[in-house]
Amino acid sequence: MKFNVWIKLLSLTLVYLENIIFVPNEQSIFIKALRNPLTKEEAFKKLVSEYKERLYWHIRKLVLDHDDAHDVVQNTFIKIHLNIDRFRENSSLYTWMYRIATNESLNFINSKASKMGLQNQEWIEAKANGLMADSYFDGDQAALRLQKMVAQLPEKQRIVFNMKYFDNMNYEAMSEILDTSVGALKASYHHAVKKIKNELND
Amino acid sequence: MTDFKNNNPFKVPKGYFDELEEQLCSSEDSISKLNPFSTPENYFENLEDLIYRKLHIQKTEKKSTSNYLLLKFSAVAASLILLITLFEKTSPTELENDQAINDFIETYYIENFDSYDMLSMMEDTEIELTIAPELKP
Repeated sequence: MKFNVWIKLLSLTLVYLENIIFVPNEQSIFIKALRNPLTKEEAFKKLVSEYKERLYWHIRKLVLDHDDAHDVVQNTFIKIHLNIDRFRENSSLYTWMYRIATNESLNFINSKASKMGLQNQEWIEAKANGLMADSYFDGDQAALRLQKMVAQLPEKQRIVFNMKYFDNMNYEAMSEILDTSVGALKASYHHAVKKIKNELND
Repeated sequence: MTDFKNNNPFKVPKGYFDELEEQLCSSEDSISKLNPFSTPENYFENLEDLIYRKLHIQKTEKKSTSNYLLLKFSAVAASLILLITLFEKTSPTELENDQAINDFIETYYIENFDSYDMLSMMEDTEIELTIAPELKP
């Protein structure tokens, strides 16, 4: 038998063994589709359709303003599209996207604040103070007060509070997204709740 | 003690557990109302198209930027080759010397030169060749 035929047989056997030993799960099949130039566009459309609302609301709670959230959510999906080959699959696709969305939101706040010569927290507080004039804010006085108090929290506590209180996310998922230990996240949430409770009691 | 443990002295109102489910569902509604933010109408329906459009623009921009960079690099490379070729043939000092001599001739010799000066700088044979045809009868 010729050498080429042997090589072909060997590679086919390897592919067969790979499929038997490493049964691909739903996520890895989807990621393969996202990486394949022939199926990338279709898979990306599915991804956007499935995650657009969840990522938008996560971003919106961090940047507060709709127009800002719109810019950040678009950039988040573009980053996901451009960097899907770099995703190492050691976490779920959802937490990886959530991490990109969080980083994009923080970078956005950082850049906007520095352009205005403000600290990040000062910029967020200014945004929270202007919420009543925002046509896409339907909250009452109590909701506005809560948003203002959340805006006064340090960055990490603010993110943790939003994810836990509003999104009801579990600490394990938050730990993966924020690359912080569960213990530290619990402490951050505890401090945030304590500060808000004290403010409400005043 | 065991009798005490097994005896539950507490009671709940009649139908309490049936209503509890309803109460919990309604409290979930109130939690969802904690989100005081809203979006423009049909925002999420249009968001997908906006993302694809932006992605397409980014790709086109990336392509044109890379073409522009290629053109820029080619122009710089061509200019460098041209400069190197020119500098190899004539060094800057040579160019300056030539210019100085030309200036000197223009300002001094052309202004103060008469036919005698010119004749004094010429060899005898050159004079003969220049003047001879006119002197010939």
